[in-house]
Amino acid sequence: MLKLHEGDGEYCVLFDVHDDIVSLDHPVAPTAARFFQVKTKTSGNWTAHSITTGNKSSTGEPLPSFLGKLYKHRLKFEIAVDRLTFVSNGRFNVDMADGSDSREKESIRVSDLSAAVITKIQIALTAEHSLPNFPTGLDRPTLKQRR
Amino acid sequence: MTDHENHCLGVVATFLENQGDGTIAPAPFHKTLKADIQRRTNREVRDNTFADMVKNRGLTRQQVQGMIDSVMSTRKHDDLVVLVSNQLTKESFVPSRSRAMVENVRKYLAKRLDPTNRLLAVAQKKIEFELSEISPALLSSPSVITKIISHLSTLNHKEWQLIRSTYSDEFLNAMFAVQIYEQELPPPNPQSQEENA
Repeated sequence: MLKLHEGDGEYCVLFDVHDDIVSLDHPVAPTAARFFQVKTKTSGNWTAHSITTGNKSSTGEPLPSFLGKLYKHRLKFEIAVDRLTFVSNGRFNVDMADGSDSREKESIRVSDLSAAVITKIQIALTAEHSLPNFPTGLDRPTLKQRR
Repeated sequence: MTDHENHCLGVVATFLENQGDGTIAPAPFHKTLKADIQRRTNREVRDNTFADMVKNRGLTRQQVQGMIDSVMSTRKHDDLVVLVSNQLTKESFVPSRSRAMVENVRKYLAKRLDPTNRLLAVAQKKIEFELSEISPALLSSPSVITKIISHLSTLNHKEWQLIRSTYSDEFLNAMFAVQIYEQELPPPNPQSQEENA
């Protein structure tokens, strides 16, 4: 938000909208939205499995996964979704397409992950949202590590 | 303070270097911003429309700028203390009382930066209201602090009683003095200036 304030344009940052933070390019007539899901991790690293697998509710119903919840905004939001970002203090341990160590990165685009991991994510999102085809727009989600 | 909070404070400090006159203290602004975000995050209301959602959960450029403007810069803070101190000298306050008053002015300016201090906020509102009712002649008097303190001391508001019991009489007087200078003052009364001369 402070970065947006340093810029020139209008903005509106919404807190706790479906557990997420949303930034809009205008408070009255927005044309683009950015979604941020912030999760704290006390130990270990995030993996492709942990961000695409939801927990179970008390009645045994599957709950949405973190990435699935974020991707849902892209499916249902009426205005253009400019960016989907999963932010955590934890690091990400996922195979990168270029073979680099993801745990050393502060920002990872899902499209930069290895083909095998992307396929795994596509399968998980397809199942979670009952999509007829593999999801598109996987260049949008970004995983960010922040203190 | 946790590592995360220290990191946030650092981000806020860097941001504030380019805001206002560059001397806004990061801690009070961080506290104000954090309290506001927590309030919006914890609000348990149903957003029926997009406008409701923006109103209940949104922070806009205008609102953030309002927060920045409400946190007084260190420079403005010091200027205000000097103004009050000089006026006390002009009004021939005895040095020990003047020192105590200035100390309470500093204390009040620091304490009111806490957005959760409702006691000060409501007492301040009451002072603002009473000052708006005072005649311009009194507000432009050369002995403005003495006269205003003497006038306001006759009023027995419960909000001010709480300030007296929580802090002190002199703290309340310091609040009066600060609000005199933060109030939109009328132009100086020529007659009063002549009297002063």
